[in-house]
Amino acid sequence: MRVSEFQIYAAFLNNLQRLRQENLETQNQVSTGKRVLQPSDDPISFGQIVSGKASLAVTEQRLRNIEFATSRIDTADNALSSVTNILFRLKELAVQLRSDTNGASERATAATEVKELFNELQQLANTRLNGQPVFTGTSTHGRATGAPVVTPVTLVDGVNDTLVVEVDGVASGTLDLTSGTETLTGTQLATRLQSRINTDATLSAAGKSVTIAFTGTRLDVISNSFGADSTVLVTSGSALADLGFDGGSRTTGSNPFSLIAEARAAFGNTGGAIIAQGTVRDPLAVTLDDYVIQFTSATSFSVHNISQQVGVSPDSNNAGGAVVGDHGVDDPSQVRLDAYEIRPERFYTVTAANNALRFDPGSGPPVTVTVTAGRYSGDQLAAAVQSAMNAASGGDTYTVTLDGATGEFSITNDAGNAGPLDLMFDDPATTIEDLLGFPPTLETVQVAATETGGDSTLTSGAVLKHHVLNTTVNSAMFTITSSNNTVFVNGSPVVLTAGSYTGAELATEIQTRLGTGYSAAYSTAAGPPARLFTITNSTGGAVTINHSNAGSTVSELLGFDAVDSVVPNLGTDVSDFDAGTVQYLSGDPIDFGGLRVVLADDSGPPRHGDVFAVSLASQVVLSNQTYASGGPIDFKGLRVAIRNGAGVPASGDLFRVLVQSQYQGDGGIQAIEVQDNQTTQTNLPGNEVFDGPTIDLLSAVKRLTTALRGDYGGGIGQAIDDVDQALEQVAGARGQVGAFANRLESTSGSLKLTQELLIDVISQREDADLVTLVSELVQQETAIQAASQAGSRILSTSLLNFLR
Amino acid sequence: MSLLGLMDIAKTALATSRQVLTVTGHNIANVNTPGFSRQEAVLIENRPQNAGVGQVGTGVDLAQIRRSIDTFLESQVTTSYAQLGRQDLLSTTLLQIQPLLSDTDEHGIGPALNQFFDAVQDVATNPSDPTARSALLSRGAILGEKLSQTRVQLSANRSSLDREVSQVLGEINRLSDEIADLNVKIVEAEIRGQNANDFRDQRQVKLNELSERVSIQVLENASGQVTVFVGRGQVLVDGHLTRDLVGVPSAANDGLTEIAYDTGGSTLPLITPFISSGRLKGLIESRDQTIPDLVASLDTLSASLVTEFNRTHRTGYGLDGSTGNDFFTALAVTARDNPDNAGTASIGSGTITAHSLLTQHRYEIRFSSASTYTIIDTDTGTNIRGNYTGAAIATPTVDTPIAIVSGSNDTLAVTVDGTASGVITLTGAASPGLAYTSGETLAQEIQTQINADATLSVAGRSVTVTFDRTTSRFVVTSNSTASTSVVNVTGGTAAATLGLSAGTSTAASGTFASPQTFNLDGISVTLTGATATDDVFTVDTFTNAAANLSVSITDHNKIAASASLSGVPSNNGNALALSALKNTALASLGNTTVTEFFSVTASTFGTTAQKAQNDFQAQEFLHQQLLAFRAQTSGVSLDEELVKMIEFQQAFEAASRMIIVADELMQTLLSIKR
Repeated sequence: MRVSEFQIYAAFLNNLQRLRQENLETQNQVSTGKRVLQPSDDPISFGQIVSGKASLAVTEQRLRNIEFATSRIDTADNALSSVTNILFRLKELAVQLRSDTNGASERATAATEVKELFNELQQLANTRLNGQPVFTGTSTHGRATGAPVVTPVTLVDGVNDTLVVEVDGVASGTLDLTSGTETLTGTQLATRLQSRINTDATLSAAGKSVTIAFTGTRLDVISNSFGADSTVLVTSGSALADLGFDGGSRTTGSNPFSLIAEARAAFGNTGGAIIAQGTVRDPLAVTLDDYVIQFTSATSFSVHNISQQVGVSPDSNNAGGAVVGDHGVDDPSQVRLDAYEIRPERFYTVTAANNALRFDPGSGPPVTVTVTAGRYSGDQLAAAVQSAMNAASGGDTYTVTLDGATGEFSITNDAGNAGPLDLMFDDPATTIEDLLGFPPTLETVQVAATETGGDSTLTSGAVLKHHVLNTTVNSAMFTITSSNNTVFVNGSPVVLTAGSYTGAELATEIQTRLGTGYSAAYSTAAGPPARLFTITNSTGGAVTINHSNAGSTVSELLGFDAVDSVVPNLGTDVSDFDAGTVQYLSGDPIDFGGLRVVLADDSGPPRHGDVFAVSLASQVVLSNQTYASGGPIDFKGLRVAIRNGAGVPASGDLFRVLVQSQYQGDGGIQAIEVQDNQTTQTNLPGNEVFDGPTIDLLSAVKRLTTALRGDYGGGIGQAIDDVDQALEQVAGARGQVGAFANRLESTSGSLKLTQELLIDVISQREDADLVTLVSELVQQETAIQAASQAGSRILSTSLLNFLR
Repeated sequence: MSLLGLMDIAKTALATSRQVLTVTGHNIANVNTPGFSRQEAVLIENRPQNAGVGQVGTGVDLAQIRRSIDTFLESQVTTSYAQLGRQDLLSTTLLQIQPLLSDTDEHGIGPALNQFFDAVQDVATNPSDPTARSALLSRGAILGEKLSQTRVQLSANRSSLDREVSQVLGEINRLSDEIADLNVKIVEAEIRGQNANDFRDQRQVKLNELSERVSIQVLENASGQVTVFVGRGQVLVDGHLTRDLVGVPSAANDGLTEIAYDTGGSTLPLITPFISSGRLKGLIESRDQTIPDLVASLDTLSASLVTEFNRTHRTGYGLDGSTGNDFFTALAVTARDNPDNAGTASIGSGTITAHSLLTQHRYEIRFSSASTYTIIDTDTGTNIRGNYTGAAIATPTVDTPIAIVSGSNDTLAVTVDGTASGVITLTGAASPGLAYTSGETLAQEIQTQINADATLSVAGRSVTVTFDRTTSRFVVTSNSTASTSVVNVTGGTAAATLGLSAGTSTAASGTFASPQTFNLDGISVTLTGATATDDVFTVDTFTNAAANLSVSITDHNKIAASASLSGVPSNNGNALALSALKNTALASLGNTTVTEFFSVTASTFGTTAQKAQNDFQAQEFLHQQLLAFRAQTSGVSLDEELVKMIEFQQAFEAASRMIIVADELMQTLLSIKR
């Protein structure tokens, strides 16, 4: 083979160049410390490095997410730990003060401490991290909360179908809720109202919208914006009252938990004034007490603090053995500023088994008379027996009376009668003797003489009842609860709204619920019965009021026997006995007008005719103010506004302002991403900690202050139960928070592992192994030296050198 | 035989020796001359004289000076130059482009994507934090800048490659001329029977230089001239004649230079596709394939990111309560007439009618006759799905639902792939009707009811119904990709309520009537004018998407982190959904995620670059081998030449000695006479 100069030089040059190039690459790798600098250096590794770095970035970001979430969870946990301590202190206080050894003044002092604890709790519930409330779900919205409404609501076009609202200060046009007549459930109402508000042109143009929730009894109009500027006010419209917005409360979205001033017109108001949604103007000045605004004329009013003691005084003439137990304000939303008397009274139930009396009148043969089965007051029963005997006596007359104080019936053989009267209590035909308190022996009553029985309340068929007399308006009080709110008409239930009514108010309520074609009235008469309801049917046909229906739970309170009444058109159904009586049981609470009084037998039961005077020692906050329609009424940090609606306010009209705590947050979950398509919850909405799921603990503490201030043991006892529940609730929440923290910690642990692994993998792919590289570098340098030397040797062997 | 004859013999020896020494000297002188082939003096005995005893030699003669070459090897070297030229250019270009994709640490597209999605998560973790929100805006802007910068640089690379094409064409033409000149010189020289060794060497060098630029075929004819062919048999040089290659700006290829063969006529045939190797091929490959592929990848990546991110972003709510905002500037439709179209029809700039249906594919409306069109998805190679695109309607919400009232507005009649349905009844209720509070549930109901139609199911027809939130319209799409794929809403009481009475039906193929609006997978384009057979119109939504990628919103409060209006400010449902996009495999990216797609793009490019580099190195090695082989035959070996020099020096001295001897003999003879 020929070897030309080119080959020698080229071979030498190529070798040297290749070595130099390799050397350069190695040097590059050594100086950057990286094996892969360009995709082409190692495409597969490069792809893996890019993916690896992407995963690493995600992993590190997730670790950062977790770090932030952990601080949120820690903040929540710290707050809940403090809440637990406060609850323990509250329980300690409540247990200590429940004991009757503590008097009104000790309890009032404690109320101040509880108020402070309430403030602390509220602050903790409003804990913020980085300016965001920790316990608010995802957002805090201002809202207008209506007063409770009775659903379904019937909206009638042109009658009660318009509304005007203000959202974040922007007033809507007049919203038209229906174009016909529709009966809507609460949920349907909410949907309808929301749709109408959110499609209002003015509001849409201003970018305002709301969400409406129906929370069982109330409508909440919630602004969709958040923060301090988030507000809703339902101002006017014909549907205002039916939707519960003649009153209610409004808040801004400043804090998740804030105090609200719920304004409500009392049921029995006769004037035409309307109260707007109440607001808390200065939270620091709020005392947690509730108030009643009472109009003393159409132009003046006073404001009373009703979180006060209830005074109960037995009448000095009381003959019974009952004493006054606990007493206090139990339901501020029903409180009125009236005076009451609790009046025990007797009641008798006559059946076919105890309704017959056989007697031998002086003027004829023995006869047997019966009293119609039914319920009777003592006077009624005396009258019934008297009239039955007189009708069958053949001319003789008798007088039957009941001694209210002793409970003893007396039968008098009137003067001028033909002869002695034989009351044949021993005769098998006579069954009523036990009810009337007579022994089963033949009693002969001489003319003008009187036979008196024993205490009839001790006999079967006779019971001790009571009614509460509102002495201010001279009417019995009626307390409707869920267990006595139904009357059946033509087989269908008619449900009355729970509350405490005077007779006239209840008649109005009955008339409202019965609907068109009925009227109801309450009246007092000489009796018996002395207190009675009259239901008039003008429907155009006969109706049956199903008093015999077991579900007709209100019939007895209204004074009706358990016998169906068939009422012809334009006919009436009238109470059979005194309305408003309730069975007396020693130690049972007696509720009326938002107050609760407990009477208990001591030396014996109360007597028919005993009287216990009850009144709330309300405090006047503002006295004799001049009313200006629409003007603000400010007191104790609260603000309400009363304006003329259908008319001016009437003297005696009441507007209640109740202070409560309300949650403005939502149930929103804040999650962070911890794995691909996997998130974990990092917050606990306030409605799962403070506002529920079992108890609204701030409102419970508020009730405790009211109970303490009102020296109301029952309320304090209730508060102990509430605090126990709250403790359980908070413990549950802390458990959840702990679980979140644990999950984050374990996720963080595994992410850190992943991070290390990824760094390792990337490093393996990307980083140069310096040891190998340096040894390679040395090798390459040696190779270059070798090549150079070899070159110089070969070149030096050229023939030229020998030809010189 | 005389003494003078002896002198003559010596003379020939002297002359040839000197000539051989000249050749050797020439060889030594050209030891480093590129392309030089070693020359060899071929010596022959002079014709002998007949003498009585037999023939007597008359000395030596120089028959010819010939190049020592292996013609086969020479042609291999020429071809190798072509390969080398192409590989060299490819590897250089790819290595130049590569850094655009390579930075894995901070400044590249990959890190920008990562940081962008990290910023999304920061917003998810702190939805109300203005810092996190502003950071997201700037991260989005940076991502846009990275992508558009890369796009701009790739375009710049492409332009510079294009300039180089023109340069190379100039060089080719110059070389052609030089080869033609040398052809003439060689013929002139060789016509006298001489070997034009040095001209041939020069021509070979020129041929190699030419081959390095463009692949050529070389044929040598009997007269020693070469004919050079380029492309598919186009003559570049024939004897003394040359034809030029010229650059023609191509309308179909962004105005870039196409290579045409100058026939001297008015229409110049394009030979770009026929160039198989050389730098020119390398330039065309990188310019028309490598860079556009990369650009298309970046565009597709950007277009998919923009579409999906915006689609999710639109459903969320900003801190200011705003919703329905795009995060990135919305995509634009690119519609183009093929420059070769014979018809005069033009396609209008299109609009996007359904963002949820965008595929980021390229579509072609092709005409098989003047009025028969077919719409092809060039990515899948199949027909598009026929569809009926409804008119925009008011988006149904909880507050403004669409009510379907039984017996009033609850029926539809449709035709799917040529089959007419029976009466399709949507689930409704008596007045005020069944309220549908979202477009999606209503779309689902329409789809269910259409697909439940007996006639359609017997015929095997089915549809997909989509509600596009962005444009607030229903689109009924056939599930068939056959050429018969078509959907039309022909009637029904619900059609008007649903916006399905004033919509557009687009068939996968059909008869064109100007002007006609076509809806293809969410894009609407209108074609106006006279079309001709073989006309093609292209439509896509991704062209320039990377270059145009920018953040649309300027107010960070409008970043829609919350999934509901009432959840503002701390609800992060939508931010989480946006963040999840990072891990979502997108159909428009071949079922890979955004990061995966980028990593695949980068590593695919890396593979290509690595291959180019390896190919170049291999080719260079091969080339060196060939050159070494060539050097074996044609290279100058100094040793050899020195030996030869000494050899002929000696021969010269011997011949001189012979003259002296002859001279002495002559003197002797002359002295005899004296």
